[in-house]
Amino acid sequence: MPKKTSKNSWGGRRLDNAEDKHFFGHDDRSVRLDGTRPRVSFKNHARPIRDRQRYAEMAIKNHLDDDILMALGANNNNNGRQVIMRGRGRGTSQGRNSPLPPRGLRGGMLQRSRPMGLVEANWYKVLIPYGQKYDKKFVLTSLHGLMAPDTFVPIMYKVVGNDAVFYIEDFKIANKLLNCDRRVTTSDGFKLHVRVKPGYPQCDVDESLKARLKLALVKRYIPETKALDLSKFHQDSDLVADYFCALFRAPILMAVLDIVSEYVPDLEALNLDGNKLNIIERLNVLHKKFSCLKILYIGDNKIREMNQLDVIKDLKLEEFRLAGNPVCFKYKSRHDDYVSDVRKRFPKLLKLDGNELPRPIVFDVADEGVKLPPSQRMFVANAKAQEIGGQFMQQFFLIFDSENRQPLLDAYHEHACFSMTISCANNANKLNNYLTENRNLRRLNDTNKRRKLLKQGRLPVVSFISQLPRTKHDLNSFTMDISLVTETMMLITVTGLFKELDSKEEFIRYFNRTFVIVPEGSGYCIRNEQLHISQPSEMQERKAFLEQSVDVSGSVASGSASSSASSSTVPVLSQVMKEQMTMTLSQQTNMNLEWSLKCLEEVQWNFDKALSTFHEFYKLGQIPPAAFEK
Amino acid sequence: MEQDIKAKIDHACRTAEEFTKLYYESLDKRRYLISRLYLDSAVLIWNGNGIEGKDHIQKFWIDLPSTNHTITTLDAQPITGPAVADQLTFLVKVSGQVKYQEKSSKPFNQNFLITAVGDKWKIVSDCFRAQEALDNS
Repeated sequence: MPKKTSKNSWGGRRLDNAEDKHFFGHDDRSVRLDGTRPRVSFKNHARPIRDRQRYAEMAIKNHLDDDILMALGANNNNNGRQVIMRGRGRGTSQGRNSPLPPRGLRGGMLQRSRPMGLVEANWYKVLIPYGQKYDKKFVLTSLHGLMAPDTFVPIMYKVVGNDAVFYIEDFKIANKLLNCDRRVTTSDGFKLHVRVKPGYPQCDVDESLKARLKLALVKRYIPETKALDLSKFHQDSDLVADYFCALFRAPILMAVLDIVSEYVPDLEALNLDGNKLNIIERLNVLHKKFSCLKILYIGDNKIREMNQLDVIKDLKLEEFRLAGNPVCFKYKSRHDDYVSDVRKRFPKLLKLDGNELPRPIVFDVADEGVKLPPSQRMFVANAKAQEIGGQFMQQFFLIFDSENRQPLLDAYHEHACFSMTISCANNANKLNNYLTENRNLRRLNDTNKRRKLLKQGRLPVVSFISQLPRTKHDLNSFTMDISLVTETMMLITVTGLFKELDSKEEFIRYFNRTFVIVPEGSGYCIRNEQLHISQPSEMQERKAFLEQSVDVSGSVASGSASSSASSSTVPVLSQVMKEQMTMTLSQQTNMNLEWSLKCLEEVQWNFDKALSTFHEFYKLGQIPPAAFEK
Repeated sequence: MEQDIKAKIDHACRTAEEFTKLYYESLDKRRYLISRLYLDSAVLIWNGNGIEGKDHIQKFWIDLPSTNHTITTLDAQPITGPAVADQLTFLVKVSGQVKYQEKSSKPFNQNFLITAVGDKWKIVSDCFRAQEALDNS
C-alpha cells in the first residue's frame, strides 16, 4: 500500500529509531503521578446550543483551554477546576450524542480507580504525553494488548511537540483507552499516560488529498457490479495515517462524491454504512450524480428521523439498508410501519435491511419511471441541408469568436431581424450585462419597447452583435437541428456552450440560437435570428471545453449516426463566406489577402487546417516575406 | 412599409403570447388534441429526434410521459421577404422549465415557426431542446 510514502509528510519529529533524547520537561511527569488528573469540564453556556457542529467546535476549543490549564497547574486538580454541567432543558433525556457527561457521573463520582469524566461523543482525541519518545508501533501494540478483545483504528497518529496524538471513534473504546492510563510500562521505566477527550481534527480538501482519495476509492470500487464500498471510510487504511476523512463532514463527502461521479457516473451500488452520518441533506446530490443507483446502504449511522430520507427519495432504489440508525429504534415494535414508511420514499424497494420485501400491489397504470427518448446531437432533413447548414454555422461562429465581428455584415440580410432573451435563474447577477437587451415578452408589455429591442437591418444587428462580450464557443458541445428546408429558406437551431473572454472569470454560458437563412447570390444569409442565453447546468459546466483540440469541420457532424454524408466533397461555399474566411485568416496570421486566399485554397477552405498549416510553415521560416507585404 | 412592419411585429408578439399559452396548456393537460395545432406536414424535432407529419407528432406526444411546462421567456419575430411571400409567418422562441411526471424539472428551449392557414394558426416547425450535457460519443 502506498501509505508508507507520506509518513513523514507531517514533518513531525517522529523517532522511529527510538533514539532517546533528554527533554527538560521530562521529570515533570513524576509530579503528576498522584492519582488525580483534571477532569473535562464544559463551560457554562448561557443558552442551549442546537447546532451540533458548533458544539463540536466548542468542545475542541474547550480542550485547547484544557491543555493550557493542564500545563499551568494540572497537578493541583482541586484548585479552581470543577465540573460544570447543564441540562439541555429536555428533562432527563439527553441525546445519545449529547456532549454532556452521562448523568450517572454527575458530581464527579469516582468509584473506579480512575476518574471518569469522559463525555459521550463521536470522536475522541487521544494524547500520549511524551509519546514522541516511543515508537508508534510500541504504543499502539501495548494499548491494543491491554484492551483486547476490543480494538481501534488510530486516525492521524502523529507527534506534536513532545506528545503523540491520534484520534479514535466510539465512546466505549474511548473509555477503554482512558482505562489504559498508566498501565503500560515503557522500556525506560515510565508509565505511559493516556489522555482522552472528545474532538476531531480539521482536514481541508486540497489537491494532494484529492489524489489520495482517488487511490483509496479505486481500491473500494468493484467494476463488475458497479459497486462502491465507502463503509467506515474514516478508517481507510490508505488515508487514516494522514487524514481525517470522515464523510459526516460535508467538504469530504462532496469531494468524494464529485470524484466518484466523474469516473463512475453509472454507479449502481453505494455503501455508506458506519460513517456517523447524522445530517444527510448533502446526499440530495445522489440522484443527480448517479441516476443508475439502485442499491444504497446507509446503515449504522446517526440518522434520527424518517423524514430525513426525503432528500434521497428521488433515487430509484431497489435495495436499501437503514438498520443500525437511531431512527430504526423508534420503530422497534412497529416493523410494518417501518417498512411502509421506508417504502413511501422508495416505492420500488425490493429489499430492506437484507430482507426481501413482498412485492407491492399496485394499480396497472403506466409507471415505468420517466422514459424519454434518448437525445440526439443533430437532426437534419437531408444531407445537402446538413452541408450547407454545417458550413454556414462553422463560418459564422468562427467569425463570431474572432476579435472582429464586422465581417458578419456579409452574413446578415439587408433586412435582418435579431432579438435576444435571457433566462436568469437564481444567480442572475452573472447575466446582468445582457439584461437591458432581454426581449422577454413575458415581462415586457410596452409595444414600443418590444419593437425597439428587435434589431432590424444589417447594420443595427451587426453593431449590436459586435458589442456583445468576446466569446469562445465549445464546438464539442454543439447540437444542430435543421427543422425546415425549402427552396427559399432554412430554419436552423444551434445550441451549445460558450465562454466570455472579456470577464476575468470567463463565465460559461448556454445558448440556443435559431436562424432563418435565405439564399442570396451564390450563398446564404441570415434573415431572422433569435438568441437565448442562460446559465449552464452544473454538469454542462463541468463538461465544457474538456477537449482542447477541436476539428471544427467535423464537430457538429460528430455524434450523429445519420451524418455519413460524404465529407470528402468540398461543400460549395458562397463567395461571401470565402471572402470572410480570407479576411479572418489574414487578420489572424498577418499575411496579406492574396496569400491568405492561396493558403485557404490549398486546404480546400478548411479554416483550421489553413491556420495550422500557416503556423507549421511559419515556425520553419518557410513563408516568404512577400506573404506579409501589404 | 415602415408601418406595415411595425404592425407585423406587434401582431407577432400578440400571437406568440396567445399561441404559447394554448400550446403548453394542450401539451400539459389536453395532449390528445395537440395535433390540431400542427400543419399536416409539420416537423417536430425533439432533442434531435425528428418526427414528421401531424399524425406521427400526435403519437409521439401521446407516448411521452406527462409534462408540466413553466415558461420563463418568450420572444417573437415576423418573418418577411420572398421566403414567405404574403404568408403571415412568425418565429417564436420560448424558454422555461419542464417537469416529467412530477419529477425534478429541467430547463428547456423551444422554437416554433407558425403560419396562418385560413383563420387558424398552424405550427410548421417545432424544435425542442432540453438543456442537458450530452455525451461526446
